[in-house]
Amino acid sequence: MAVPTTKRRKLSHSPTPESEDKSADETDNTDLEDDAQTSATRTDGHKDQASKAQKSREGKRKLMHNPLLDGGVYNGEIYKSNIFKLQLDRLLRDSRQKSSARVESIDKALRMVKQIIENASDTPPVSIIDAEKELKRSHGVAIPFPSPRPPKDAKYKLEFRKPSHINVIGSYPAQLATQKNGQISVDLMISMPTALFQDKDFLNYRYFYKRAYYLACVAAILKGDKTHKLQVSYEMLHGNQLLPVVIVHTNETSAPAGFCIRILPSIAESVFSAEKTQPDRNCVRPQPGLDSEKHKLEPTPFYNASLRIDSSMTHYLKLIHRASTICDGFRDACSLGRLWLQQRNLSSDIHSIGFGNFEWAAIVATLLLTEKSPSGVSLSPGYSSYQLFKATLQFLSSRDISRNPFLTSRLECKFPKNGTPVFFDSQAGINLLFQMSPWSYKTLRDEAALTVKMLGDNIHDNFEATFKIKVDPLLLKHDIVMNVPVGALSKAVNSSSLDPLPHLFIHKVYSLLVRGLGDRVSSIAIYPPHPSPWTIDSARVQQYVNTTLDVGFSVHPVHIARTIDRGPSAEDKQDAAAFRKFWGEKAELRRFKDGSIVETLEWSAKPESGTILEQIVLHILERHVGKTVATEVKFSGENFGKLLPGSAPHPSIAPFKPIMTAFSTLERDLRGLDELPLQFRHVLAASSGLSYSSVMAPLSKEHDVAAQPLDVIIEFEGSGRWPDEIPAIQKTKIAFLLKIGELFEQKADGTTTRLGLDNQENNMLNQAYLDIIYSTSAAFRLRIRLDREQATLERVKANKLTDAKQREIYSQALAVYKRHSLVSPSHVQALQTLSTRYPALSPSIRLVKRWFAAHLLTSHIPETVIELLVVRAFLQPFPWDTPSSVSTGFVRTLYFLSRWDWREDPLIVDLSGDMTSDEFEAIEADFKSLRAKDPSMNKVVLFAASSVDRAGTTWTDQGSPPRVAASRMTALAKAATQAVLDPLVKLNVKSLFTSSLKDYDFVIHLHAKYTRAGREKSVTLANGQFKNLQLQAASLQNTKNIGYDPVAAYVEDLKSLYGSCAVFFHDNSNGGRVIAGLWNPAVVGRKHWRAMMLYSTIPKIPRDDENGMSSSVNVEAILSEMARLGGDMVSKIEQQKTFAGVE
Amino acid sequence: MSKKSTGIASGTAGDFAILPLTILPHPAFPKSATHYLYVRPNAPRNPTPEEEQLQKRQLFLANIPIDSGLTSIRTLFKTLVGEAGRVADVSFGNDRKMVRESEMADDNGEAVRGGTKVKRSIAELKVMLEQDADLPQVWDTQVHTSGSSAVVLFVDSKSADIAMKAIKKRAKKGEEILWQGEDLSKRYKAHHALKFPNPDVLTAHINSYLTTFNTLQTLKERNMRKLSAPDEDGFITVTRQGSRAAPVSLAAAEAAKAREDERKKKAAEELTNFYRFQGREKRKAREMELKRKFEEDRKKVEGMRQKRMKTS
Repeated sequence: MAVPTTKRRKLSHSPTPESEDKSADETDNTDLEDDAQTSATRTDGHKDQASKAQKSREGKRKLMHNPLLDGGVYNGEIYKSNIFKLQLDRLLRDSRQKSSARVESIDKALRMVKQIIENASDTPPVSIIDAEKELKRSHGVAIPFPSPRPPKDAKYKLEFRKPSHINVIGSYPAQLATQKNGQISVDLMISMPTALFQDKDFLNYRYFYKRAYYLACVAAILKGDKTHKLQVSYEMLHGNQLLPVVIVHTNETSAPAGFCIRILPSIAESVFSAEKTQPDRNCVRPQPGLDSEKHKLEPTPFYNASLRIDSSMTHYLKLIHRASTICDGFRDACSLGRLWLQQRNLSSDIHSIGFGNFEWAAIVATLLLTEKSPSGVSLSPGYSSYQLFKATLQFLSSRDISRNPFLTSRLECKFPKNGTPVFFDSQAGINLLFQMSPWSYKTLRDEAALTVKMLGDNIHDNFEATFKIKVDPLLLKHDIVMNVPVGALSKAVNSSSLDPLPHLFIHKVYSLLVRGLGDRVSSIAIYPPHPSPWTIDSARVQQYVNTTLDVGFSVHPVHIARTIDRGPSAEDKQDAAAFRKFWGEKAELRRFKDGSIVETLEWSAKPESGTILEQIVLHILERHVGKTVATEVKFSGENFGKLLPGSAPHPSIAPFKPIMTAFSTLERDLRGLDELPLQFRHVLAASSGLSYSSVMAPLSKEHDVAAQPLDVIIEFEGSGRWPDEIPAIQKTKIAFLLKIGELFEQKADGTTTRLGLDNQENNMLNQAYLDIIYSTSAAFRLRIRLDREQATLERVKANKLTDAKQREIYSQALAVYKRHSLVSPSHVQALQTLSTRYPALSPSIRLVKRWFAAHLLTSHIPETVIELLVVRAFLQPFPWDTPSSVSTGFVRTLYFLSRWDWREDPLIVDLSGDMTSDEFEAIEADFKSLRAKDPSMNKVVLFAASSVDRAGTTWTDQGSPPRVAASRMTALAKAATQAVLDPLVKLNVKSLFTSSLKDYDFVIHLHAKYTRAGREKSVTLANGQFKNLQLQAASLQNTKNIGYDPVAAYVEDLKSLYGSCAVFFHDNSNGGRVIAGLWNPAVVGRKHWRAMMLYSTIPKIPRDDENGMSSSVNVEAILSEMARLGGDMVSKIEQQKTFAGVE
Repeated sequence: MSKKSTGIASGTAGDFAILPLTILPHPAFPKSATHYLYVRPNAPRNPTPEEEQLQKRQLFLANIPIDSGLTSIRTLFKTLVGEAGRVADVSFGNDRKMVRESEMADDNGEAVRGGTKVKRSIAELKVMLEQDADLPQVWDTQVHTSGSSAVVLFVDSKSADIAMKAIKKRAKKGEEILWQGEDLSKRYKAHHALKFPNPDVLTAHINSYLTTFNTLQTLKERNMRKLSAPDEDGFITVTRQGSRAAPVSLAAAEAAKAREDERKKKAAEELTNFYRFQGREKRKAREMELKRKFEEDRKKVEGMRQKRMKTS
């Protein structure tokens, strides 16, 4: 809640001199007056007196709408930033229960259920067999005994007596309830009378049998109530099979959106001794006769804690209530925790991670109320909700409580070291986190650490990432996802009691995977299938055969591709034997160059044998779990890398090695040209082929021999002898290039150079380049960058005497200069650095580019912008960690793209990591003023800035890309994300890369031999007998053909000739075989006739409602012109739509 | 398919005659299409006397096909009126030739008016430079933006009249005439070859340009120096000496600027917080700034929320 203090309020409304002095201690103030108001209304909220709860809720609502409370300025310490705080308030307000109609109907239902149970009559004690028979016969209700079933000859009797209390507990009375699938669940605690139990009942499941019977009786009573027709079913509390509960749905059709009541049986704290149910005690004695003497009594922590949890419900109810009275931020901190958990799909269920809302609230409350824990962690009641939230996450992430248990007070207890985290509340005598397991604890810690990192980010508020983005879709979160069918598993473990999937078994799979994969993965998350509620006529949940056990892997980007694993040395007999036992025949003894002889594993790097992770996992499963499982396992996410040219299972920057070497050769050769009058200051790469980010790696097998040479910018040392006029500068540059070419050909053997003309018609721009083509067919395109050119352009532009038209020419020339000579090389350099730092970046960029190309967007969306989009997914990865594979890099980029509202938000990527928030704000301000100047986005549609290019419009000026292309990009990204994230659809990755042409108005098909993709094939086909001879002949031809791209020139022509009436889409990076077009909606339809239109027209006889001649665009003549222009290249032009305006 | 039913106008539109051109089917687009050319006698808005003279020999063509050229327009008129309509030249809407000519005229005029020898030679050199400025052409054919226009110059005004009459007649009947555009089939291949001109030719070209440029530069300087000598009344005309004083490199300029900034900053720092009221005012300003930012943020969050409501 936004509750500023009196002082602060004064400050914001009338800044008087006295308030200035006090502003310094602003942060120390707590909300005193608010406390007084709310503590009155917050009383007794936990009791089941609905009217009181209602009242307090109203009081709260009134407070929230107090307009006075919204006027404070907040300090960054208490709430990250103003905007964070404001969003937080809004979020909390939205997340609270709203519908008062629902509150009413819930309260009514609660009262009714309570009454029914209270009115029930006690039953006399019966034996287990009789009890089961009787309930089945009279009510059709089965007793949900936990497994193992009670022995038939049990001596004790089962009995039902009226509960001693019935209370509403949990989130609903605390007004924290959040909806899940549109449902609120309300917890109703019924206290079983102490008299039903004996001291020794904590042993051997006896308590749980009695509890199950009690619960069955309650179910029978509720079902037996004829007046209300309640729907009653069983569920396991948090998936714990020891603790079944009853779920009640009312049958009211008139009630607004659903809710259900969970009935939780409980016992008084004093019934069982806390000491005897400590985590290191054994409470399930081995069956007599099975030589029990030999067995040491193993502790049963899970069993013990399940028992304790029933007796500590009241304790936690009180604890949480106490916490909320002493600390104002507590409830909101709980709400935040809930939202955070919800977005990550984490819950108390042991089939999730065993850490949910209850654990969150209990831990925060315990930390708040523990004055001095021996572990030295506690929270201060003066914290704001945000501080509590962050401190709790810090606590969870920083401390490994599975190794180093957290205790609220000293306790003599040896916690079993099985990887389960321990947060031991000595008052209740329970380890709050008993439901967690090693893997789920790791998941929780990873998530918490990540969020702490997000909140520590000083530049971005990461509010969305923390609370609003759904984190859990598996393919977004994990690099590789494995689905194991449960059916196959159950066969493999040969266990009939697979309900619920035994924890021990998952534990086994987890430790197998951890051991087998080692440092190849950074985390393994396991998602067991959730058991659902079941009907009360059966004791056990139906087996869930058709579900899958999902395992998500986050890989280590470098180690994942290792093909040779070294094990222990052969001399180390014991380890070597263990290694052999684990890996079986896969392990072999090898001798390495350094002389060591060690156990080794070798994995195949061939594309057809799948990824190495896949090979390892399958091998382990086959060896240790079963063949059937291994055959039925499915992987997803691993095949993204195969879509890249070369289709290596682990794409990396390796394909670019040859071209990078060639580039260093070029630099060396250039610097060796002594005869030049000036020395080189820089030789800079300025092409995506040199930043590991072109779809095809230059010089690789798949690369087109006739592709464009790679851009290189050269800069000479300073000299005062350059001319001062731009046209003369351009001519001098040509002279220099000619000289370099001449010297180069003399010097470097087998190298061809040629001078090409650029911007022939505009002498303000660079007018020439020099192509240097090595015999390896590495080709570079050199352009000269000159300080003097920029200085001259700037000087003329700034000169007040320059007229408007000239100024326009100069500023355009300056923009072009900056784009090609300044931004481009720095961008490439930044990408080079990032690609070596993040191994998954280069392949992700290439794949995303392929995606853009597949949808014919590359002719509009500049390469640089695509690169920035992908880099963003790596540098601002939240709410996830930095992508470590192509699949996550690709999917998250698309996900961002689908959410990016480019109308309102600029794209700002800090490539170097040294931008300050002021710089971000400055760029954002530029963006805002740009949008304010041009709200219809005629000039700039996408705004993409980076640390090397603060302007943001360098690549997207002049109305390119047009709005239609940007919208199409977003729409396609949305569709693709949906396909990827839809859990019901088995994703065919290739389908993401096929684009339908039916949305376009016309399509120009090209002959394959003119496109780059087509040419490649013809080259390989031409290989005849005398390969060397042919290659020699071909190489001369190839040199001439380098850079020959008639299709690109054709598309450029089309754009300039028909730019005002149509938009063209073409895959210009891979040489696609189609050019698709859309008519500009502004020209479609009848227009007033003029002789000079911006497109070819048909004159039309005026209709009655028109005055004067009208015209429409001459579609057929234009298409026919396009065919003539394209000549041999064009095979077919399809007119797909005849729109109404043409008639 | 009669013209009436399709609603296509024929005859005249404004003062233009509508000349329908038949376009033969192309293998890639096997449909015959009709292109509509709008023709009228040329009538520039503010004609110079020269233009007025030429005007009688000219026709103005609007909405020309993209593959129009001298040959294709000649062929068109030949088919229309035979030998009577001989075309001397065609200039297209975006043609640079005409612009260039007018610029040259300007320079010449100045030269005559100026009268001095030096000035004339500067002007002459400028012309030479202009002529040298153009690099070799990189396209073998010109294409024209869809819907652009052209002016056709006939050998005499009679030919122009005959052509116009013939067009009007055709237009009235709505009779079509075959269009044969320029041959564009080699366009892209030729472009790839033309982009890389012979280095020797290019060297010669560049050398001649730079020589002219240097001569011009020296001449200008000398001229400047001459001007800075006292005239008979003892006055010296002060002129800017080019921009040779500019720093050699951008980096040096930036460094100089940084030094200057540093100096200014230091000077400013010494005087801040000298008086108490300065500190007070600063704090006040900071608070106001905080408040403003807060208001801004609030608006932003409200905006975000509204947007979400709209989308959901």
